[in-house]
Amino acid sequence: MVLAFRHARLGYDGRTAVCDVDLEIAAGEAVAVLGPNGSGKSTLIRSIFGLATVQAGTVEVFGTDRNRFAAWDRLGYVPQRNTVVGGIPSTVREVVTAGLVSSRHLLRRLRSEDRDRVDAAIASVGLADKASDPLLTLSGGQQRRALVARALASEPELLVLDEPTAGVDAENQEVLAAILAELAGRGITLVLITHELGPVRPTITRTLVLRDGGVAYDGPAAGAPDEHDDAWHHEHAHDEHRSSGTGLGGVV
Amino acid sequence: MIAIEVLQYDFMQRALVLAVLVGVTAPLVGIYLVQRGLSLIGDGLGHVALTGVAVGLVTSRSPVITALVAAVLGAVAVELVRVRGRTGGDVALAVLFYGGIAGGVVIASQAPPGTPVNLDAYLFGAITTTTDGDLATFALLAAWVLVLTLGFRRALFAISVDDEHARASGLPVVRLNLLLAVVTSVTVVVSMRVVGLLLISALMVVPIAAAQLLGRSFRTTAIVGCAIGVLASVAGVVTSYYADTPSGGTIVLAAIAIFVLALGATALRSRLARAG
Repeated sequence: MVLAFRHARLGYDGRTAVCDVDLEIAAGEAVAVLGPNGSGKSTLIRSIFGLATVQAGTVEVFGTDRNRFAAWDRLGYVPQRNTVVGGIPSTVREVVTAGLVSSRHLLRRLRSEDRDRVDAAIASVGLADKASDPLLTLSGGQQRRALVARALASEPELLVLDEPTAGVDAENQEVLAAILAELAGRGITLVLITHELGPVRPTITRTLVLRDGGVAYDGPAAGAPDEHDDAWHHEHAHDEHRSSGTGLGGVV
Repeated sequence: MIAIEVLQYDFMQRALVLAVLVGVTAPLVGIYLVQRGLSLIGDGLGHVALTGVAVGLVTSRSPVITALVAAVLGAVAVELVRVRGRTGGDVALAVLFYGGIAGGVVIASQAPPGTPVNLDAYLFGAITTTTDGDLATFALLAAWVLVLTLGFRRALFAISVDDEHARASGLPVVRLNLLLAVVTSVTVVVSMRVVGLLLISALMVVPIAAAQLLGRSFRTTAIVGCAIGVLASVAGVVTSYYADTPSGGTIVLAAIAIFVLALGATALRSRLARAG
């Protein structure tokens, strides 16, 4: 399994955001995590990277307990917003190269194959002509693509994206969707949080809907409710209650 | 001719070597502080180092070593306060920093009668009083700072540009932050003879502030920043010799003059770009 949440309770500073989630994600899946604000979507995926606390249960990454996991270059993470900050101009290439830094190679010099991987990652998101430009001079959609490239620099087997299309114009949404389709085609496992599937729908093989910190739906995208579908949420509230939030793969 | 005349004197040779060391190391550390919005941390650590200087002067130990101990302890305390990130963290930092300078003044006042205690040299710099022993110590410390900042530059860049991503990549962010804090405190001590504890931040920040106007990447900003740091330090030392002015203030004014020139160049470039 690429990811396994086993009766996981997740949160921050003693505050619980996700209760007793029990699910597995296998290699090659393209999973969309949907749900209203505050449902625990971000907490679920941030727990994979140690950005949220596992308060009970376990989170396993490639079969290893997250607390002992060290093969970080097998993972790629694209945060919800552009978290690149500061007044010093950093080029796209510099930011993408930062994706190669890992705890195992803190002092290692860049080799020519590393530079090739960075260039390939930048090219794969269509920013080869912007590689030497300061990141913050790019449009919001281009910046998001650059962050995808940073996550791809280590050639990860699992790519996790938090709202990759939020705040991105329609054209860049299409570009991002095409990039994700291409990555899925290469067998990379995808987990992405989104409010709506939109242009990524054809790529998605499985949909998780979170609600109030539990999994309210786990199944194909075709059966997933719209985020604003209050009637669906109401209808399935009892099902969710009966299953104690352990996933409802057979509900829809 | 001017350069040759200045180099005739041993004290000026030592001063210029130290100016070059500080001109390189201060911006090289400062770039990470500016990037993270911690531009004034060097200033605060300078305050804390003053307590160490006073302890050294009063106990007849090397003020450089005692300042180093105080600055490193201060840096670790600052980092711990920052990591906790609680409301009032800036107040805690203010207490630490003002406590540092107040402690320095009070401890210095307790010096035994007849002990020469001159805090001014440490507060405002006295580069021409550098001895061979001082220079050797500062050179070792500067070399240590250079090795660490260059060796860990990719990791320091990663945590400075995007702390969250660095954490998500499994980087030891807390340890790297502590490393940067300790390197900053060592740089403060190396710089105190050159520009003084009250002006230390200027040499960490102003060359980088000028360089970021001219550079288009982190790397070029770092290189240009170091070049400006060396230029300002050497020009400041030479000017202070001929104009008979304090070296620290002269160096900082030289750095600010370069910053103003960079501002002008940037404005001119923008105007030409619009006209073109």
